[in-house]
Amino acid sequence: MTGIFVFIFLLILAFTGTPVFSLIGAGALYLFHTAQIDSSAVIIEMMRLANFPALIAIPLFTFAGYILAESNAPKRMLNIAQSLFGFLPAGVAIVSILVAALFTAFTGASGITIIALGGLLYPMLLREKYKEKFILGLLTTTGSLGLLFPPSLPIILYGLVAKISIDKLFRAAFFPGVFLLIILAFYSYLSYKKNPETKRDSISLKKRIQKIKTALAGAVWEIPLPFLIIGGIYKGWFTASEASSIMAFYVLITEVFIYKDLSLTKDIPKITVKSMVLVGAIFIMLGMALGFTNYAIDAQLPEKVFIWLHSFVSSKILFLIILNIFLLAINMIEIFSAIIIVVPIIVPIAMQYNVDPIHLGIIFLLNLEIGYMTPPLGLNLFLSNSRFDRNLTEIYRAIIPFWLLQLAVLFLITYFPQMFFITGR
Amino acid sequence: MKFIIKIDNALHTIEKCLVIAFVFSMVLLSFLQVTLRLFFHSGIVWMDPLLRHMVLWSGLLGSAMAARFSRHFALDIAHKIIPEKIKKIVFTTMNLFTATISLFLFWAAMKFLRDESAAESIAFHIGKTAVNAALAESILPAVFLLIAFHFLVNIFRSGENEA
Repeated sequence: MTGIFVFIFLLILAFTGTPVFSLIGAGALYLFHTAQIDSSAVIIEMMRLANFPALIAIPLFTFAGYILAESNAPKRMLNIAQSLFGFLPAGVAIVSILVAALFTAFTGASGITIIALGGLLYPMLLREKYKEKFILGLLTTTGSLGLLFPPSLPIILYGLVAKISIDKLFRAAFFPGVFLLIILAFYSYLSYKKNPETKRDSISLKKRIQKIKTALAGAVWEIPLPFLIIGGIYKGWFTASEASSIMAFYVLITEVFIYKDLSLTKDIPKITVKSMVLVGAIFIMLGMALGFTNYAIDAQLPEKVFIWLHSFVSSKILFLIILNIFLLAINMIEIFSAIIIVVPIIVPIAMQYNVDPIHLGIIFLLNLEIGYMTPPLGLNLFLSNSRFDRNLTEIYRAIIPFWLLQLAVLFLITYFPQMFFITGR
Repeated sequence: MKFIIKIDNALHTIEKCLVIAFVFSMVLLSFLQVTLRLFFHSGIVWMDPLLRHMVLWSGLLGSAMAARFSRHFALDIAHKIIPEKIKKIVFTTMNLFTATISLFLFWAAMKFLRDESAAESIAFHIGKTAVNAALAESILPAVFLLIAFHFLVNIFRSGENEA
C-alpha cells in the first residue's frame, strides 16, 4: 500500500521537473529499505559501472562530437556534399539529409543538429525555391536522423543497458538506417518534381569540378574520419570503445593543431566541461538505475508483466503493435531516461514473445527517432520552433508527411526484419 | 548568501579542473593502448581498469557539474505547464527533494566506503603499486555531497545558469 503511495508521490514530483536520477534513486532507496537491505547496496550496484568494458565510449564519443560541432567541420562537410550533389534534382534537399544524418551520428543525437546545421541549411533550401512547409518539415526531421549509425550515443547506451554487443548492434542498424535515408531522399525528389519553381545548381562542368576540388581539399583531414570510424567498426578492425578513443584523439589533433579552428587553452576546456555535463547527467541516471532495475529483475517484474500481458496479448504481432505505441509515447517525453529505465524491463518481456534483442534495439531506436518529432512534445519540434521562429502548429502541420513516412519504415522494420538483414545474435 | 555562492563557484572551478585533467589523460592513455594493440599486438595490462576508473571519475564529476547548471534530465514540460505564480515554490521543493536524496546517497556511499576499507580491497594496480579501493571509490560520496550542495545553492541562484 505504501508502495503505491510512494510511486504516486514520485510520479507527481516527476511532473514538477524533478531530475530523473533523484526519482530513481529515491525509488531504489525505498525498495531496498522495504526489503531490509542496507542502503549501501544502491552504491554497490552503482559501482558496477566501473566494470562496464565499453563505458569509455560514452565520454570519448561525446567529447569528440562536441569538438566537431564547435569547429568549422559542419561547414566544410556541407561544402563537399553541396559540390558533389548540388546539381542533382532535389540535390540540396538530399545534401541536407545526408549531412544531417552524419552530423547527428557524430554528435550523439542530443539535438545539436537543428541548432548547428539548421541555420546553414534553411537559407540554402529557400534559395532553391523549396516550399517553406517542406523545408520546415525536412529540417525538423533531420534533427534526429542518423541515430541508427555509429557512433550515435543512444545506440551505444542501448547496447550497454541491454547487454548486447554494440558492434553487432551497429552492424544490424546499418541497412535500416540507409533505407530510411533513401525513402526521405525519394520523397524530397517527388516534392521537387511537383514544384516547378525549384531550381538546382546550374554551373558548368568545369566550374563544378573546380568547386569539388576546393571543397575536398578544404576538408582533406576530416574526410577519412567517417570511413575510419564507421568502416573500422563494421569491418571489425576495432571495437566501438577503441573507435571512440581513435576519434577523440584524431579530432583533437586535427581541429586544434591542423585547422586551428579551436584553441587548446581557450575553447577545448569549455568544450570538455560542456560535454562532460551531458555525460554526467547520463552517468548518474545509469548508475541509479542499475540498483533499481536489478531490484525489479530480482522481484521478477518482467515475468509478472509478461504473464499479465500475455492474458490479453498472445500474438507476437499484437505485442509489437502495442510495444510501438508505448515506445512512441515514452520516447516523446525523454529519450535517455527511456532507454535507461525501460530497456532492462522490456528486453526480457520481448524475448518471451520471441523478439530478438537486436531487432528490438532497432525498433526501439527508430521509435526514438520518430518520438523526437512526434507532436505535441517531441524535442525537435521545440528546437525548430525556437531556431526558425515558427509557431508550433505550423511545425506540426509541416512534419506530417515526414512523420508518416518514418512510421511506414518503422512498420516494415518491425514486421519484416528479414528485408533488412536483421538476423539476430 | 554571497559567501555561499562564492564557495559553490570555487567548488565548481575545482570540478572543472579535475574533469579536464581526467578527460585529457583518458584520451591520451586510451589512444596509447589502442596503438599498442593495433600496431604492436601488445598493451599495458593494468591500463584498462585504470581507464575504467577514470571514466567513473570524470562521469561523476560531470554529474556534479550538471547539478550546478541544472542540466540533469527531467521532464521539461514542467516548465511550460506550471503557472508562473507557484513556480518558485515548486522549484524550491524540487531542489530540496533532490538535495535530500543526494544526502541519503552520500550516507549510503560512506557506508560502502567504510566496508571497502575494512576489507582492504584493491581496486587496480598502476604498475606494481596497488590502488586502494576506498581511495579509488572516494569520488562517490564526494560527488553526492557536491550534488546536494549545488542543488541547495541553486535555490538561491537565479538566471545565471549558463555553462
